[in-house]
Amino acid sequence: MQYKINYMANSVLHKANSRGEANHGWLHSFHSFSFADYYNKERMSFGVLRVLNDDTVKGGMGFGTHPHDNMEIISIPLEGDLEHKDSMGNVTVIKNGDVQVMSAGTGIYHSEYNKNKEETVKFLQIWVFPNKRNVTPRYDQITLNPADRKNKLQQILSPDQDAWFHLGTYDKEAKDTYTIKKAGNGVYAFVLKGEFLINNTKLEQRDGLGLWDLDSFEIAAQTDNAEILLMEVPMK
Amino acid sequence: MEQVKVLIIGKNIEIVQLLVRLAGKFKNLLVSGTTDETDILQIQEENAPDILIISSGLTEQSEKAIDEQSRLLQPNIKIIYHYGGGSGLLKSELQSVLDFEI
Repeated sequence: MQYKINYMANSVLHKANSRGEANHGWLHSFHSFSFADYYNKERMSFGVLRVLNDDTVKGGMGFGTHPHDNMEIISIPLEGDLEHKDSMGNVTVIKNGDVQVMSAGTGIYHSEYNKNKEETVKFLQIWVFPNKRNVTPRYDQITLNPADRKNKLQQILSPDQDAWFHLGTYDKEAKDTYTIKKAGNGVYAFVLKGEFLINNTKLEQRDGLGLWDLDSFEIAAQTDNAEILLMEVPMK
Repeated sequence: MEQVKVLIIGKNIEIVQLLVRLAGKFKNLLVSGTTDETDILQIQEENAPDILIISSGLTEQSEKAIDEQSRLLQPNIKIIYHYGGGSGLLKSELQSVLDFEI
């Protein structure tokens, strides 16, 4: 199998089992970067990507109303649905297949609950530093078509920050190339399912690989139905 | 161990109160907050905080003025621009400027 190795790229590998873990009973969370009581000075961020939390919430449970400010907050349900309410008056269900984006700006209150009383909900909560503090809060939600990411990358959002997020689901041995959209940006690859090979690095489920100082890289799926999230972000 | 004095400034009173409550739980931190930016210099002169946390709601000009004036008054002050609104990043932000574990 041929794959492209970018010898000039810098990279950092975060194995799934190296993440911080917090189990509160109703919430079981894995933190890729320092968050709440998990502090690791070597794991503070990847460029402006500050938080990548892999959350599982029990049926009917959730996060009560609480504030956020000055972060771009992206929520991606992986299994199950989330019920969202916020101080801007949004009341909505974020289903598996949707993506929610909030610009917290000057401040916003919200709650997120597992819509299903019997099943757990699994979702990613991702925070990106904004390029400007204290903007007017904003909420957006989109529904994605999974067919648009079959053996190719689907752009799922572009936070207000010269950042681009893509999802892709691949058959075994399928390959794809990601090209950096803005010079100087890095990419944090996070495996949702299966295994991938990127820059001669094998990635398993929930492993993260940060890459920077490169123009493009190849991803090669090693298993069927392998799914990956690519987050291109400014490095400063 | 001597207590480290922390002052929190922001315009959203509920978030400032939350930050004061959360930061106040950490050992060896003495925490206060204000939403009045005109109070800052007087508070600094009277209490000389070791750490200034800038929360949300201030204008860019106000943040810059507070930063510059605080450093003039206290060159060794540590200034944290808080992100998140109290929901997850505060401990890391504080830990990164302290030389003891909170």
